Amino acid sequence: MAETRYRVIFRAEILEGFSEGAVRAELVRLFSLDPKASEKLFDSPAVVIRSGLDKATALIYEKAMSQAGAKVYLEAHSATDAADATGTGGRQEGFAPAAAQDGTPESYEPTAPETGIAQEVEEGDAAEAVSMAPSETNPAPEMVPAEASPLSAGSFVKHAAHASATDATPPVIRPENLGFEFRGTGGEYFRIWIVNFFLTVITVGIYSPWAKVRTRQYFYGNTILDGAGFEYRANPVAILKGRIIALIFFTVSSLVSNLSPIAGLVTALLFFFVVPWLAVRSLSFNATNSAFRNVRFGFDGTMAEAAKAFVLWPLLAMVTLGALFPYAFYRQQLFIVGNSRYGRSSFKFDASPRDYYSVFFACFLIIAACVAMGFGLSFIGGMLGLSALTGPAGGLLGFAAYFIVFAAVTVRMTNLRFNSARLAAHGFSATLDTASYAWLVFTNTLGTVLTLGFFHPWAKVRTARYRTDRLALAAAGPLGTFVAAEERRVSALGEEVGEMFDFEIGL
Amino acid sequence: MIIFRGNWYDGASSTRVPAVATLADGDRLQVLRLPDETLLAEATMAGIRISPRLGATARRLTFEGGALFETEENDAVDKVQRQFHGARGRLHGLVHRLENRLGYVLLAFVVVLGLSAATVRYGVPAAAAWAAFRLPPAACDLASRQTLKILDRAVLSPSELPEKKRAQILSAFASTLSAHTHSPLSIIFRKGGPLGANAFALPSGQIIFTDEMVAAAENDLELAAILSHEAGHVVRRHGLRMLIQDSLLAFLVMSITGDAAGTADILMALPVLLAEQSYSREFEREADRYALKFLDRTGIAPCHFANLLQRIDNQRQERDAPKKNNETTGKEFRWTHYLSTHPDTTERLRPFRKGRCGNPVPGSVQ
Repeated sequence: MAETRYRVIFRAEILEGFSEGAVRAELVRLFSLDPKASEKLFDSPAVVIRSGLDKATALIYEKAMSQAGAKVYLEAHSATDAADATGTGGRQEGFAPAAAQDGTPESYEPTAPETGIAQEVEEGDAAEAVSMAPSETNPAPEMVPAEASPLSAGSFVKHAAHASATDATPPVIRPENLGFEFRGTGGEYFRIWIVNFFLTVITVGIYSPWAKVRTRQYFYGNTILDGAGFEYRANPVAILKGRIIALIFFTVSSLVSNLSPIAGLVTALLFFFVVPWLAVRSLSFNATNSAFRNVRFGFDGTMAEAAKAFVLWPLLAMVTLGALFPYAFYRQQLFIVGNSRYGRSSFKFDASPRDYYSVFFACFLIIAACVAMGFGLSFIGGMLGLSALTGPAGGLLGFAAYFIVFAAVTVRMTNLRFNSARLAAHGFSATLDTASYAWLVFTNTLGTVLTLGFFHPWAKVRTARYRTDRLALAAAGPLGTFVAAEERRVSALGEEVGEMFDFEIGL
Repeated sequence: MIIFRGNWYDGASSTRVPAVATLADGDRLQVLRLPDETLLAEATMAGIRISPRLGATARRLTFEGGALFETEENDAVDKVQRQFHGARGRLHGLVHRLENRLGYVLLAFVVVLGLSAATVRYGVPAAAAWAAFRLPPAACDLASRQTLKILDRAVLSPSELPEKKRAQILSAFASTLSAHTHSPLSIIFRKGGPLGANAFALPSGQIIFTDEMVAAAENDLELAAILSHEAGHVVRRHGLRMLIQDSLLAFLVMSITGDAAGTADILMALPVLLAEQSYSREFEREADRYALKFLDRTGIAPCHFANLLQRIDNQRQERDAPKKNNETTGKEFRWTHYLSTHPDTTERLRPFRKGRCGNPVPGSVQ
């Protein structure tokens, strides 16, 4: 059966009240175009933005573009038409390539796998066939004029002469990766950090929740995606309450474990059971209090799932002498990412356990290589009579190995986590690199130790910038289409207890 | 009339609407969509929450109902805040002003540096001492028992001193022991093994003397002198104070640099270790002062203390000296001194070199 699908067409027509410059800029921003592509948009008589959409999705596009000031037309076509049109058999993902005019249809790689918007298409018969082959010629479609948007009436600044026929192959737009950007600086953060420290000290710690919120907000607010920063909205008073309780726990457990090793062991075991609760509360608190474009994130993991991820699988990993450790780690990441959401849209996580095994295997190889080098060095040193040097040399090698392994694990884990995450139609890409990250960690540590800690603000900013520079969103459409969810209030206790015990969960 | 440009996010979805906020006469703030100037929201300033200024980050004006106007024009928002939020606005801006005036920043830096140094040097030890003297003595017993068990399993072995010798030493100790009824002491003998000639005090009042130490002593008065030093450790609750100080210090370091991603926080332990070593040296000095006072009071010549320790130190150096010819350089020797928990021997023993003790043991040439 031929379902009706729609394509969205732009004919270089501007809605009343907008200026061409503003609309062009807005479209550039919306679709992350480069300047050449945006010129094509306005110079061509008609451009097919997208095709093969169901009506609801087509309307979303129409609304977004109208808000930007562009008049669009929705044309119906049947799914089978699209099938005939394919000469490439390429699967359409995101937007189709801009290089279509060369007549080289396969000039694109998918930026993200299944896009949410295209999902309806995938499920239909036309799944394989929805592509923007340059050879496509449009049979005279029924014109579906753009739906009732209050601004569509009236005159046009630019009127296109050609109606439906597209003569030359319509160029289509391809969004690039939307990179994250970090705008903070070490000097600026140092000032915030030192005043935080100062105020915390003179208020005997009472100011510390406000300091924490300020710090988080600085880093969130300076992380920019698509021109907007993130937001941290936690209430310092809630954090203060959580901290006081956490401090009591910590003091008691410290003293107990120091005075009696057995009681300490019992406390540690008890803590093990509290972990699922901590995990869920901490993740919920952080998620609910994070927002982007005034839509909050959320976390919906249950205590039962947390118990499996943070108690059961690690226990099994211990029992199997570490063989299941990568799998346990995989389950934790799945728990965290898979239960997170932005507004009402859930994150999906599609890494596999094998990915984690290869990360750990790679690190084993690195450690083995360092150990082998160490032995080799001491052997050669012994032969050459330089045994006095092998001690310090071995120490240095050990240090270097530590940094490299630390960096390798962090880099691979971070890359894997982001590259496997999806949100609706969008994907993420992380391109951290072991060598440069190892150098970053080394210089940060050196700086911090040598300055007795005062380099810490610069270290933190450097790390944040490093990470955001290498993180991008593979956007498959405008970012304005997420719907907010109802939110419950979450207490800060889990987050604060977790932090007090240096229990790091989350991204 | 104050106007500033920004983006409007209504909170129901993530849609961004370019908009402009205007504040005409009166206290009503209007948000108008661009470019058609449709009214998106209007409210009195009292109903609008303004986020505090933070570096150069975007500022947020939140309306009742959760809608948000976000702008990068911080100066304009400051003006609005000063005009309408009065004292509250000034308070919010206070922290940002502190962060922006170099003078304040320098002041904060100096204060923090000074306070940190003072805390590590004086604050932590003082707090630990305060706590240690208020904990019941029984708090130490369990820890001491466990420690002794661990020592016995790891390094110490049963003493090989004959019973007569032990009884002789104990009677020499009698006066010292009876002088300490408020912090009861008990003597334990062990073979030191790798620990050599040594004596330890456990917080519970148990004091361990190794056979090697007994062998190194030329008379029982020397051992009694060492006992007074160990008694000082017990009376001043050094074991418990050390425990608390370590925990406090580690906690402080962690709370300051704990959120460090991209730093190997395991190496943050280095400064803590160094601080701990200096705490230990301070405790040893305190025990020495106690011993000196006690010896003076009970009429035992302090030089006995000096003689025994010097003799042991000389023996140790003779044992280590042959190694010097092979690989270890002088530099390595000095490093271990710096990292040791006991203050330098010559310096340390100087106050004890008084009284009449037969032949004083000279310090060896380093």
